[in-house]
Order: sequence, then structure tokens, then C-alpha cells
Amino acid sequence: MKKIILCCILSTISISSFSQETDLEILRNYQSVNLYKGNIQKDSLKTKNTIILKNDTLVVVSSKNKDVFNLSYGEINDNLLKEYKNIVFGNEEKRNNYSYKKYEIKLWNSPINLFFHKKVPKYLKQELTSLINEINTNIDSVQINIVNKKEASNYFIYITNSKNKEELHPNINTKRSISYNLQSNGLNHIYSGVLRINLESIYNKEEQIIKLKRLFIGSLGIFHLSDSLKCNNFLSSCYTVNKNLTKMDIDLINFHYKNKFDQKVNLNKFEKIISAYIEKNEFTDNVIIKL
Amino acid sequence: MIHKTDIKISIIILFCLICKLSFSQDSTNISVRMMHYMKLNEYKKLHGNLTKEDSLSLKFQDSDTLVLLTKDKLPNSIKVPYEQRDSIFLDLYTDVVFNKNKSTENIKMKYWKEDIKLFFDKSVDKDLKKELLEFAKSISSKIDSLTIYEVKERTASNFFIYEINENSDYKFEPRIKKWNGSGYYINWDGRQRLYQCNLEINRMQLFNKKLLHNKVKQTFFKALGQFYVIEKLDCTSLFSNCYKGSDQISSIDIELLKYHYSYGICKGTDLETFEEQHKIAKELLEKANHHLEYYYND
Repeated sequence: MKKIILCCILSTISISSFSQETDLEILRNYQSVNLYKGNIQKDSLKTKNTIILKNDTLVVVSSKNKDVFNLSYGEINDNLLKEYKNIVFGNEEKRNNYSYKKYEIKLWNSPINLFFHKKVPKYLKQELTSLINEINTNIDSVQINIVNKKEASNYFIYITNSKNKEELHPNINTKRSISYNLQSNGLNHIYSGVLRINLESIYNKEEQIIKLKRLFIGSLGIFHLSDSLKCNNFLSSCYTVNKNLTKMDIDLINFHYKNKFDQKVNLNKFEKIISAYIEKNEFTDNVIIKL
Repeated sequence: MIHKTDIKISIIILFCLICKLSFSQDSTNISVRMMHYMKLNEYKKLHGNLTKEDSLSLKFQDSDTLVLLTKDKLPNSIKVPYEQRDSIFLDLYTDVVFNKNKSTENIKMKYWKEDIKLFFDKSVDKDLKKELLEFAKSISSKIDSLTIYEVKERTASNFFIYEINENSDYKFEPRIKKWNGSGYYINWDGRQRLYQCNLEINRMQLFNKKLLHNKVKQTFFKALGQFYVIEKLDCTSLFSNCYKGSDQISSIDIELLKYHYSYGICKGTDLETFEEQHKIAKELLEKANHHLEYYYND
């Protein structure tokens, strides 16, 4: 009898500790148990976070755990990691600034379909298109297409001049001669963007081309410009017209797109994830990390 | 001989049984008198000291003194049965309605009491209007106490929808800010009843057709109860912070919305009251398995 009571107590304890964990299960997909039975075998049925209704039961078919990460960073190069933090979370010496603390990893989770406004000059289009081709061939997880219908696009580039009082896109910073605005969801996945360039305040053609390219690359992940990178990199804060897509640029963007996080990741969390990853010392694909 | 008497007796018994059966069929109309009792100390708090009549009908149960409530002492409102839900469901519900764990404000549950009468401004794209109307109708057909339909005049509506695009840039509701593609501004009264809403569709901000349609649908859905989006549900749910559109409204969304508009919960309460009520109800149900009822004040 005593044993039975002990068992009961133990099982209630384990149940209560389970219920405390529920908060960490995010992105749950609920399905009616009747539908679920037909499609998937019974033994894979999860009971956690099941909702019992009067005439139905909703089971979690898929979900993510908030403290578990599936990482595929491969070998980690210290210099690359340092530069990566500079471009995503801001340069090291400025990071104590309050406004820098809100920076989080953001990336496109769908192909970028670019549409040019009809007033964008041909030379700008051509220059950007050649950069896009370079990106498409060198960076696996970013795909950029140029489309000719605005309603099918999710990235819009237009030009403006000083006389334009009415801005086409209301969310954009109008004080800057060139700027972009990106929209992202609660998982920090970018799904739409616009870029505007003022050809009156940036009148030099070479400057127009370089600034457009630089900002477009920046908009692949809301990248900051690094103070410590060499001048020929697009992601360097130093300005020159002699810039091209360097190996460093490619490595940084590739590193950025190696993992698509399903939650918001700030510097603090990123450092925890990375140190756990390095500690595990596996450096292959799909390394599971639990924080 | 003995056999014969035995048969006789059994026949008599059979008759008796038949009689009894037919009798019991007659007496189905049982009249039940409901008596409502209240604990003495609680009664004194509400109605003051006992009258002579009250003291005549006192009852003692366990160690409590119970006072019989006369008709005039009962609340003058409709009784609705308490709807029991499991803690996981309630956890999701408190997240989407009260923004639990995230908000420090004292948020109160808000709902539409009147029918929602949609009026579309002529600026709204036809395809989008059609899709949104179908969406609204499918919700309306699934939720009993939520009725949504289109009206032909703005003056007769309480839900105004307009679009900003290249041909039409008039912003009817300047208080809508910071939104990306679609936003709403909603009014409610002191009893937390939503009564008027303006919804903006901004094609200048979100020009991709599919993305915009999904965005507008989610915004419209949120305006049905001033809902918050959460991370616990995946991107097929209208309550998720990453809604990507889906062919059908997911079963969990319907269930949460149904619960929001059911009579089995108190309307317009804050989180504290909501949790307190559920705690009491749960304790009572565990203790005695009673049939619980709310007094629904209209």
C-alpha cells in the first residue's frame, strides 16, 4: 500500500514539473486528433500540451522548443565571428550604447522578388543586377529574382527627388538621401522591403552605384557597417568607390544565413548559443544545442 | 398442484411489474423546486441582518448556517452554465486576450456585443474585398454570438474599411500609425464592448498581393476582440506573430474565438478576476462535481 501511495506522489510531482515546461514549447501546430490519427502513426502521438475539448481533442503535431537550437555553423573562425557580431549587433565599442541593445538577428525567409520603379535609370538597374547575379551564385541560401509586376514582388526600389513631398512609402526615413525599410514578423523573418534613393542629393553616378549596392547588401539582414573591415568590402564603414563583393562579404552573409532561427535572437542569446556550440566541439551540420 | 400455484404467483408478480412500469411512465412530470441557500456570514455582508422570515427557514449543514434566499434576493439575470476548460487552453486564451506575461497594463477582455456591420470604401480592391468578406462570413457562421455582414451605407455601419494605394491616398483614420500594410483603430465603451472600428489597408507599404491579403485578414481577426499575437502558436494560426496564411482557419483559432464569444465566461473582466473565477470554479468542481452556473448580466 505504501508503495502505491509513493508511486502516486511521484507521478503527481513529475506531472507538475512537466506543466512548468509548457511555456517553452513554441510554434505549436494543433490538429484534431481524428485527422491526426489518419495521417501519422499512433506511437508518434505527443501528449504534451494536448487540449481536451467537449467533442474533440487537439494535439500538437509539430512544435519547437524555445531553448533548443539546431545549428549548422561548421568550423568557427574567430575573426569571422568578431566581424559578424560587428555587422549584426553593431561595432564592439558602441554596443554599450542603449540603442544598440535592441539589435537582433534578422533575415529573409523567402526568395527576394525585386521590382524596379519605371523611373530607376538603366545603369543603376544593370549594376545592381550584376551584383545580384554574383550574390545568387556565391550565396546558397539567398535567392534574388527580378520580377516585372509590383504585386508579385516583395522588394521595391524607387527613386525620389527633393521636390517629391509625397513619399511613395510612408515608413521610410525621408531625411536620408538613400535608405531602406524592411518589414519582419515576430520570428524576425523579413518578408517585405523598400529602398529609395535620391538622385539629386547623390548626383555622382559612381557614388549612386556604390551606395545602392552597399545598401542593398545591408538590407539582406539589416547589417551595420564594420569599422574594422578593409575598405574594399561592401560591409566596411569606410567609403570608397572601389568596392566589390569580397570573400569576406560572402562569408559573412553565408554565415548569417546558415541558421534560420525561429525566434528573436539578440547579442546576449547569440553569445550563449555560440559558446554552447563551440563547447560541444562537433562542428558538423545539425548540431543540437540546449541552453 | 404445487406447480399450478407457482405459476399463479409468478403471473401475479408479472402483473405487478407491468403495473409498476406503466405507473412510472405516467409520473415523468416531476416538479422540482429549486432552493437557494447562502452562508450566514456572506448573507449578512450582502443583505444586512436577518429578518424574522429568514430565521424561520434556517438550515444547518456541516458547520455552516445557511439562509434561504427569497425570490427578491436572487440576482435578476440569466443563468449560464460554467464552461470548463483545461489549463493549457486557458493559458493560450489569457495570452491572446490579456497579453499575459508581457503586459504590465491591466488589460480587460473586449468583445463585440452588436452585429459587426462592414462598410467598404470604394478605394478597396475588389479581389481583396471579396476575400475578406468570405473570410468574415466563414467566421460569422462558426461563432454563434458573433454576426458579421456587409452594409451598403457608411452611416449604417460600425466597421469601416478603406485602402491607401497609388490612386487613393486619403487617410480616413490618422490615428492609425506604425503599421506595416494594415492596421486598425477601435473604440470601446466602459463595459469593454467594442462598438466602432476603422481598418486601414495600405498597399503602399505592403505591395505584394498575397502578403497584403494575409496581413489584412489577420488585422481584421485581431479587431474581433482586440487580440494579441503570441509565439506559442505556429504560423498557420491567426493568433501567431508570424501568420503566413492558410486555406482554412485553424481549429485552435476557432476554438479560442468560440470561447471568447461563449456565454460560459464573464465578459469584460481583467486577468486577475478571470483567473480568480477559474480557480474557484476548479476547486468547487474538484470538491463536489457540482453543476456550476454564472449569473449573466445583460
